[in-house]
Amino acid sequence: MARIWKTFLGAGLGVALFAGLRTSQEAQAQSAASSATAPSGGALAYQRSFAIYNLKTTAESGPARGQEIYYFKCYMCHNELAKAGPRLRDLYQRPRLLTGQPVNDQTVAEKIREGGARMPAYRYALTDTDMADLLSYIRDRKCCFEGDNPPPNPLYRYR
Amino acid sequence: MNEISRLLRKTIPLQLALLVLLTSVFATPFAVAQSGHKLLGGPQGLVISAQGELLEGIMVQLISQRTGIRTTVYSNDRGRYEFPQLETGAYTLRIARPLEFRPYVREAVQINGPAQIADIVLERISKTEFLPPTPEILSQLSGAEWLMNLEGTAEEKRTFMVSCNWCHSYEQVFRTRYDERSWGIIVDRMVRSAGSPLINTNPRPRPFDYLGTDQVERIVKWLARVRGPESKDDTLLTVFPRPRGAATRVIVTEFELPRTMLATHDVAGDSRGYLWYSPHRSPYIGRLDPRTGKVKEFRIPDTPGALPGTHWIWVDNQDIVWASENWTHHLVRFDPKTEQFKKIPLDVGDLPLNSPMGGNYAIAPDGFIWKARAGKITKIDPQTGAYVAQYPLKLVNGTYGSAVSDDGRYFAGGAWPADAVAAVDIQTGEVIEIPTQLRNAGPARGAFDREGNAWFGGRGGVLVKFEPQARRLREYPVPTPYASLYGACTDKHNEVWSGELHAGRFARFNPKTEQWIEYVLPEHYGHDRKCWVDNSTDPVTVWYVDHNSFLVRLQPLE
Repeated sequence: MARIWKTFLGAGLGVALFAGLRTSQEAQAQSAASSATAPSGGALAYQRSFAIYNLKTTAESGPARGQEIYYFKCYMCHNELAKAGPRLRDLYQRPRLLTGQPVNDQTVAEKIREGGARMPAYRYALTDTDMADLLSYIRDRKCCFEGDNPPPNPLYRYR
Repeated sequence: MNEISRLLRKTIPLQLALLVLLTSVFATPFAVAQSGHKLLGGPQGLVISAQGELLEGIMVQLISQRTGIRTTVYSNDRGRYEFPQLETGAYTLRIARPLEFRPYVREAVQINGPAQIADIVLERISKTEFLPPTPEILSQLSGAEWLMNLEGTAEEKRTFMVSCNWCHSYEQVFRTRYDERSWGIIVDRMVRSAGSPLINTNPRPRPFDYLGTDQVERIVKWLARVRGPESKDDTLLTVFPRPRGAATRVIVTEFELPRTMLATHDVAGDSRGYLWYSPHRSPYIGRLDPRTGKVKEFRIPDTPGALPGTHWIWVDNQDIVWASENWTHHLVRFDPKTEQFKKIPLDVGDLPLNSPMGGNYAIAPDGFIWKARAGKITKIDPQTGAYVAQYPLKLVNGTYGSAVSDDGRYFAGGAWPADAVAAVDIQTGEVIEIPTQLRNAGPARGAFDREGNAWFGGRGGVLVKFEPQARRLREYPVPTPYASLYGACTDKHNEVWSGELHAGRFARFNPKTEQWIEYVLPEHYGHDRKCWVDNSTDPVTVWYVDHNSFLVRLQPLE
């Protein structure tokens, strides 16, 4: 009888240890998978605030991202109803800026970086990448955001 | 056969012991997690640290790859979590706001019934309670945590908090940098322009009603110091504690909307289970079906020369949708059956188009609409927009919020930017105006409870209770520092709910015990301007639409 108990307890302990080991291995595999399967954009890509913080809720780059930068940095003064700044629609079709300079990426970027009497200087607020995306939007025929047709949310699944 | 029977009888103790052991090895985790709660019964699992600690208050989230709906549950004090029953399919499993832990994501997790999910093992990124100021961590900080970590005096931070608040997130300010001249231009434009569109200039700078020019200057100088060209994010960070106990017993579901940059404002439910939301600077109101995550948009006809956008939205007991157009100065009536809009112009005197008329209204049980502005409380005919009764105010010029008691006896509203509540006894015509004791409490929007008391969220992070019978205010500051309130809604048990703007929390206040539960949200905003309670469920269900264009449902487990 004692031998049976010893055998039984030994087997039970083995089962318990095996179960613990299995859980541990599974957990480790899980941990490894967490970094291996992270989507492009990093493991925080699904954190909405990460996209909002980086002005990337609509796109990673290009005119679509430029629109988001425009919305947060330009729209409030340059929309069709506000009188705080000139409209930017078709800016690149105009011969000159209000400063008299020709309209091109260099002069527009310089104006944005330096600001003006009633315009903040965005030198410290926009990176070179931000500026490239913003300019690509201002050049785009879709410029400029007016609120009547906000952009699609890429996370919304029904179209 | 007899020998077998004898052997079986002899080994009964052994068999029982084996049964107990196997049960303890294989069945315990399942039994522990199965709460039996009617809202749960879905996938479940365990969250532990790499050192083997059971982690409480971790936000475990499943994102449906088919619908995009995000469901978040919270690990309890034994590290266990349990989801509600979810549609079978592929999901992304992640930890929301991991903060002190390395981000965790698993793609294409197959969910089918109450499956056991393999343990989630999280690695700490710091050996101390302090976190490194990396872009990843900074993007997870709530505005209140930003404010806590930034250098500055209490006066500077409080002045910023009560001044630069409802129109945008703190984060929108702190994620960028300008020189002092530029901050001066931005702040000047914010304080001198009318409403959040900043289209018109106010004849009298609005914040100067309660802020002196020296305080505006102080804000500019502080911003230039902490968010100027030379400012650096190079100090270690502290964050608020994770939820514990009752605050972990909730399910939070986030629904995507078809568009971004909507500046969404209000939400209200109808009798068919749809949720209606208003966008602040866009012509599309939307209707969410929470059973599928599908949204149908309806475009309000334009008013020439005016910015589109709705503020207040409400569904009456006939399922007619009501909204206010703050910039065009209309009430909007929408019949979902015919999909017809009716725009009802309001007489707002010489207020120019695109200046806010005060967009928050309330419908009384008799169908009349109430609002306080331009020095009087008014009763409005919903069909014509005509003012059919007016009650002059003495202490304040109007109220920001509007609420009518369930019995139709009282109208009341928080009078932000004034620190007061204004009301009228509709039966007697008596006007009641009571100032708050706390400076910059800033009570604004809210609702009456079933005992006839009104509750208002206040900009200064205060819940303000108005007791009409006693002609008294009571004030309850929210526990989390730097959190601001904008509105409040009440449920059938007379508990009060309010999103904590910039703190990423949703407050639940029990007036009987004066206890708070602060539910931590998967995103750090909590930018709720008017929540809506579905009292048909038990426990109640609370909805809000975040300023950042997503709809949120909170289902407390008790």
